[in-house]
Amino acid sequence: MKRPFSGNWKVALWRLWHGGIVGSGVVAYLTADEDFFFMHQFSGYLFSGLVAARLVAAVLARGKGPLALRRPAKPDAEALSGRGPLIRLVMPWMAAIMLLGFALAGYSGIAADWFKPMEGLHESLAEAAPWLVAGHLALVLGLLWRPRKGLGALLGAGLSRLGRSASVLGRRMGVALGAVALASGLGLALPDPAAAGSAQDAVMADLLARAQAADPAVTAFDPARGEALYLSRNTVDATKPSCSSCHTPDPRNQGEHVKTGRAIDPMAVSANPDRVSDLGQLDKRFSRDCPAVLGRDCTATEQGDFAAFLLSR
Amino acid sequence: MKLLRETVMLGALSATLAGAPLVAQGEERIMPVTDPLTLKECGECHMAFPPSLLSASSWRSVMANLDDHYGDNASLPEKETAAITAYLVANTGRWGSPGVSGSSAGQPLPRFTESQRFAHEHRRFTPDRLAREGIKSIVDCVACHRGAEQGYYDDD
Ligand code: HEC
Ligand code: HEC
Ligand code: HEC
Repeated sequence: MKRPFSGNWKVALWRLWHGGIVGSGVVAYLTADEDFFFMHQFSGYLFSGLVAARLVAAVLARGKGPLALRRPAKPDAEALSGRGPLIRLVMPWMAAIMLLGFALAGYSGIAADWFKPMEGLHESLAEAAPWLVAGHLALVLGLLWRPRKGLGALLGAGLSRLGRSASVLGRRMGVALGAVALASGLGLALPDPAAAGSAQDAVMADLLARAQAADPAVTAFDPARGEALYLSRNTVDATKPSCSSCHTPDPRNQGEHVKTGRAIDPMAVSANPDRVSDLGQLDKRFSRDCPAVLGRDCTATEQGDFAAFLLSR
Repeated sequence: MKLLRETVMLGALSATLAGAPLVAQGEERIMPVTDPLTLKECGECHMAFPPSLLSASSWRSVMANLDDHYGDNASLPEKETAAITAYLVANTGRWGSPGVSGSSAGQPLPRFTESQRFAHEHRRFTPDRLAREGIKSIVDCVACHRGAEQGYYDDD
């Protein structure tokens, strides 16, 4: 195999970087489990630092040498025909997509380290990483691998007898596979709003059925009444006069338990897609929080209004 | 494939580097709660406290009085209460709490924050000082120990 770059200190630096990003990335991915938090934290910061270092190096290289990153270009006719240097077309795109994906995964992790509600986003972004790596491997093998010895040579010779078109086809298939893996990696990273919506619809339907069983006159819930309940001030317990004492006046913000200081994730569904998705969880908290603040249970209609308010924000 | 070999070797090197802090901190670790149900239900209003902080009899009395839980209502369905009790009691440990006994009827609930060892480690944190630093309660472990939920307490 021909070396992709001739050997000099810049190449050595690049190899060091590549080893570091592989190592820290693999370690960070495998230790995402809470049990190895410090390893995850350390390798995640190292990984993010290396992504940033790569961009800095590319800027310093000013478009020259092995450390430069080329701007992804639109495919031209020559490259598409399979005769031109496919590698020059594909590599910049691959590098750009990978660096973007890795930067999102790494920096969302750092954000989550300081601001807990970011954890969900970080998890879904990081799940894209193995796909990006799979795409990268497929592309690099497809573009650079030239069998020379042994079984590979036999296969290669056999293939070359099938003619140049076959090898172009093979390489294109490798590239296509790689591109699909990269694209699905990016696709995975995007949250799936449809899946979130249906759980909430089911909960709202249950709440409505309950409210109608208690009072047949109820036809729909009113977010404005829910908001009024959320902000109302009460006198049952001076330490927690309002729902907003713990949940903060703006439900999109992270709250804090008034007694223990424990952070409470945002209540608005727009800021926290898990809200209003589990009737059991709602019931449990209504049965505790309503008596604690109002000195009585919330009615079925109040519960529905409150949930509608969370959904509307 | 020299390039590949070097990459793998460097990867292994940085993996070792990444592992070092874990080994260094391993000794002081207090096993955090690992049971998902306990993590969820006992981690809502404060960090889910490690089972090793209280004795089995203390956990039993905490769990038998969830409706009047240090002034809050933390009640749960019976099935869940039983499952959590079983987990906590099975995982009490030696950090434990001599000086905190199980409470019998009429006595206040046991607090590991009143155990000799805990009180000694945190003797400088008077209520005044906590208020000055904007910390609501000494039970907000993560306010000072950022790794508390992973079991690390000597990192401040
Ligand atoms: C003493 C602090 C406190 C007060 C006051 C409080 N809550 Fe809560 N609330 C919590 C905590 C803690 C949680 C659970 C943590 C979490 O889900 O992130 C919670 C969760 C909830 C949930 C669950 C939402 C979901 O879908 O997960 C609802 C509903 C809720 N509260 C309603 C209310 C209402 C209504 C009031 C006012 C009557 C109120 N809360 C006042 C602390 C409080
Ligand atoms: C509804 C909110 C809430 C829930 C849910 C909750 N707790 Fe608590 N817990 C509190 C509050 C409030 C305190 C008292 C904090 C203080 O004194 O500063 C407390 C204190 C404690 C203490 C005593 C800490 C000390 O001072 O030594 C223990 C032990 C405890 N909780 C265990 C549990 C367990 C086990 C569960 C799960 C079954 C649980 N808690 C669920 C609100 C809650
Ligand atoms: C106001 C800040 C603060 C809060 C809140 C706090 N701690 Fe600490 N804790 C400290 C300090 C400071 C030390 C002494 C650290 C040292 O010596 O390295 C300490 C020491 C400890 C130690 C001994 C660590 C060791 O290395 O020996 C344990 C265990 C511990 N805390 C557990 C807890 C738990 C559990 C909670 C919550 C219930 C808690 N702490 C809440 C500040 C705090």
